[in-house]
Amino acid sequence: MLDPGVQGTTGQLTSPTLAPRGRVAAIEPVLVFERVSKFYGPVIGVNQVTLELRPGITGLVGSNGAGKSTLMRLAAGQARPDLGRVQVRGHDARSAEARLRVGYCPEVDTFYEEMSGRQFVQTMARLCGYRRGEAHQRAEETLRQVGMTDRSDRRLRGYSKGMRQRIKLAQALLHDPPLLLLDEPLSGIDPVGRQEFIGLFLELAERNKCLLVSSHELEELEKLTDHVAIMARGRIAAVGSIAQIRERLEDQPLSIRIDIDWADVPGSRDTTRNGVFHVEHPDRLRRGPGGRSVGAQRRPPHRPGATAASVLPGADPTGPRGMVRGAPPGAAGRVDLGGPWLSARGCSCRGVTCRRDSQGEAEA
Amino acid sequence: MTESAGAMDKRRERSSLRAWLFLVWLSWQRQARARQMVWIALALLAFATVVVALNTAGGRWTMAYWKFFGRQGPTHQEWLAQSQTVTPLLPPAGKALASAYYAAHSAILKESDFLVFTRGFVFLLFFSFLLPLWSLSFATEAMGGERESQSLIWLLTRPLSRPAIYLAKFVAMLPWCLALNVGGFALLCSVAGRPGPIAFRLFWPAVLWASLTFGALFYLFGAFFRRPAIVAIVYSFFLEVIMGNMPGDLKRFSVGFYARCMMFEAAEQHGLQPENPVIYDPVSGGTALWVLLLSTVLLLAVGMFLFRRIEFEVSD
Amino acid sequence: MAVQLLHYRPWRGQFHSPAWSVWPVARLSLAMVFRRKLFWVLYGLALFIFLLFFFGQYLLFFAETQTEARVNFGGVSVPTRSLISLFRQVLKLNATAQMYLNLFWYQGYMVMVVLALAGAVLVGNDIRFGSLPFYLSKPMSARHYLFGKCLAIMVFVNLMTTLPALCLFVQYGLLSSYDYFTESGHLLGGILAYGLILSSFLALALLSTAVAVRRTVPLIMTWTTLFFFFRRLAEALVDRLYYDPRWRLIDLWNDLYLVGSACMGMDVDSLQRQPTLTETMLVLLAVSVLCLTYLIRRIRAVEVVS
Repeated sequence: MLDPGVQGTTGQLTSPTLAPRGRVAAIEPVLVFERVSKFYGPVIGVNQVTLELRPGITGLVGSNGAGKSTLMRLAAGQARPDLGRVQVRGHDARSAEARLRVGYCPEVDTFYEEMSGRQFVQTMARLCGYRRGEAHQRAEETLRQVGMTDRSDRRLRGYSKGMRQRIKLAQALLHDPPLLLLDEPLSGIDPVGRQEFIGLFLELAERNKCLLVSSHELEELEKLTDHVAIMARGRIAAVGSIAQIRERLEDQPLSIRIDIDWADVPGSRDTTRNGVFHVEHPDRLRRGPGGRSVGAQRRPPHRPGATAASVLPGADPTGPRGMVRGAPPGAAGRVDLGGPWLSARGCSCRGVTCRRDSQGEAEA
Repeated sequence: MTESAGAMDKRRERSSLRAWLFLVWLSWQRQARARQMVWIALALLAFATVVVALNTAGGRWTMAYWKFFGRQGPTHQEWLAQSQTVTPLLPPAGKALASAYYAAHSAILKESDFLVFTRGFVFLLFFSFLLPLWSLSFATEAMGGERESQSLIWLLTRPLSRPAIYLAKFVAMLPWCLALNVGGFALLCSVAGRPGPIAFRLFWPAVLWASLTFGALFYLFGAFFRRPAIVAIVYSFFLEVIMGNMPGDLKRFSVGFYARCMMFEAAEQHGLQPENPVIYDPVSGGTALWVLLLSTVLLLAVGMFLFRRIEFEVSD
Repeated sequence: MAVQLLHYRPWRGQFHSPAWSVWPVARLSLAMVFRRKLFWVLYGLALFIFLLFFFGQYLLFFAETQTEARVNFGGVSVPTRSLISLFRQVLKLNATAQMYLNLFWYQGYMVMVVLALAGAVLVGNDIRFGSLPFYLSKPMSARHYLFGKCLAIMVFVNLMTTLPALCLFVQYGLLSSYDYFTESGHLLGGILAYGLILSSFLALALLSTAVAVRRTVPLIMTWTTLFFFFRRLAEALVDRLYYDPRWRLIDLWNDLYLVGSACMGMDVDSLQRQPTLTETMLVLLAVSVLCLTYLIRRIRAVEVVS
């Protein structure tokens, strides 16, 4: 595993949960990305990703637009890499042989809406090339696995989000593939359903399946696996156990949220006043041993009313970089500074509250 | 026990051919489920049939209603009737000559039904509108419908090669396209009276091959454009019209040109020919058939090759 | 405190009348179509016809200013009088009512194609993909939504017909003399009136079709049947089978053309093998009333549901 601070453009992911470290090399990888890049016009979706997945569950976390779904699409053969190659058990991911070995639960939420859930899963089984009887048997088995046996005769257009997720998962499991690519499979599922799904994923992992599960939320994946990759701006930004990654994230808040209640500020009716407070990127923030911040507080308090200065005391004022100007009365906003080290200081008015944004918004 | 396990394994075997055939069946069914489109197509066929039937009942497939001098004078029918009233006043020799002329004129008018039907209906309405519209609606919907409803992903994640998927959907689209075009043409000809069966016998190969080529072309549009039906109507009702009527070789890029060439050759003995043969410069029927056949195969091959490489975004 | 945490604060301004929402709906609709490459390709094709007229007028003036009996035209020597005659008499590039009417007529093909695209994008998609509730959740009614869409469609039609015609009008005035502007005021009025009638009618027709038939392919089938099939059928019936010229009334584009001709001061009733102006106007009125009735019924249905 590479340290997120030094890995540059290549993220390597080689240690799945169920493969003990000493035996990793002995187990044949199920999914291999070799320096894969994918561009959407001028935007890079996936940037020089190298990874190998072996049986077990791997979580994939990242904010919107980080490249998770593109990575999934590349692995499922739905997108073609511009650079590098993607292989599933030695077959090009775009080939029919590879698709035989992949169960893909995509993000899209549209089906053949006129069909019932059961018909849809059976149809997908027939499209895998099974005989009618075998297809029915497999469809029933997977519907049972996802808890839809007695609810699958209704038309798909009447399904809730959770039921749709279950049907999507059922079609991915149909042909018993060694690799399962699950793009946000838990979104829209109720807590009981989540527990069922998590149990199912763990069971599949025990059966030596390789699961790549994407999500926005680290907490969600925490219940599922200890092995997580974080994607940011198309790269595998960090890989490791959740505890390791969390420790690093806490050191590196990325965005802060600033709410101003002008009603508390004397003379605040003058909305043209600029520079009421400013927020800085102290790029040259003093670092202590191990690259840790000396100035920034590690865990900002989540209490309303705290001033920016109290949230991040002692930040080094190395000159203003960003500034929020002339906020109208009652304005509230979020200032995303994008860099790895932040501080807010120099509040020249009262009533400025500064909170760290939710973890889901943080980037590594 | 081993035998039983082997049998079980065999039963569990999957077959790509079986999957492909099922995809053909599924796609055919899904075309039928595009009910609004099917109903509009059938309504159009019914309307055209009624128009043809009414014309047949009214005896309008004849030049008898054409104006005699340009478009200003009496109709042929009126002129004949008026002229015959003055025949008794002619001298005997003139009477004989006039009678022969009237007989010839009447015979020509009677035989003109095929040409009137062909030019007034087959060329103007069927070939210029109904055949392209029916082809484009089913062909663009075959793939474009899946893209529009974002359900194509379910086919692309199955263990079938992409060219096979492309071919399967084309094969599934063909029965609809051919049933409407060839079957519809047969129906229209069947209610057209005397010229109908002649027209069907002479023109069905042109209708068949034009349907196949149009189908392959519009199906290709369906796979590559987000709004294939719009591109297809631009092609059918704008580019085909412009290219098909141009002098020189530009018209040779028009599918309709070759279909018409086949028709002109087939109905040559009935006096059917281009309005301006020098400018139209038709190719032989055999050449036209080969061009249409090869175009169909080429369009399919190009489609299969490109479909293998294309990526469909989620928003598709 | 809880309200503060939610950052809720009441709206302190005043809402305009819902009628103000019509233009934003139209503007958004225009933006939705303008950002599609296909629209610009179609618009480019439509411009070909306009450019033919534009450069035709220019060439006419070029020929008319030549003093020689023959001019070198693309390396070929052509009699000047033939060239002038070709442009003035055959192509009618003489800035008369006929020229503007020809432009409107020939633009018809691409207008219909562009409107098929606009119908699918503007109305069909809103209903199919569930954008309609976003509009209707704003302080406006379905009526304002439809007005907005109508306005957008009218803009498209005018962009392809009235605007090019006005360009030709200005071009001719600048090439000949400023007197043309004062002497041909009726033509300017005619162009604007024709554009207004054409765009209003087509907007109503398209909106009704798109509301009734939402999917792209059925919408295109219906639209092309209305404006291509019936045109050909009218041609077959009147020109090939010699039925009564009233059968031409089923060709709506032709009906609009006749009304446009009247707007530009032409005597429509003297035209050969054409229906009378009164009949034409009655047909257009009847179709408009039908479309309006249908739309009103649909609007009521939306209000009941919501």
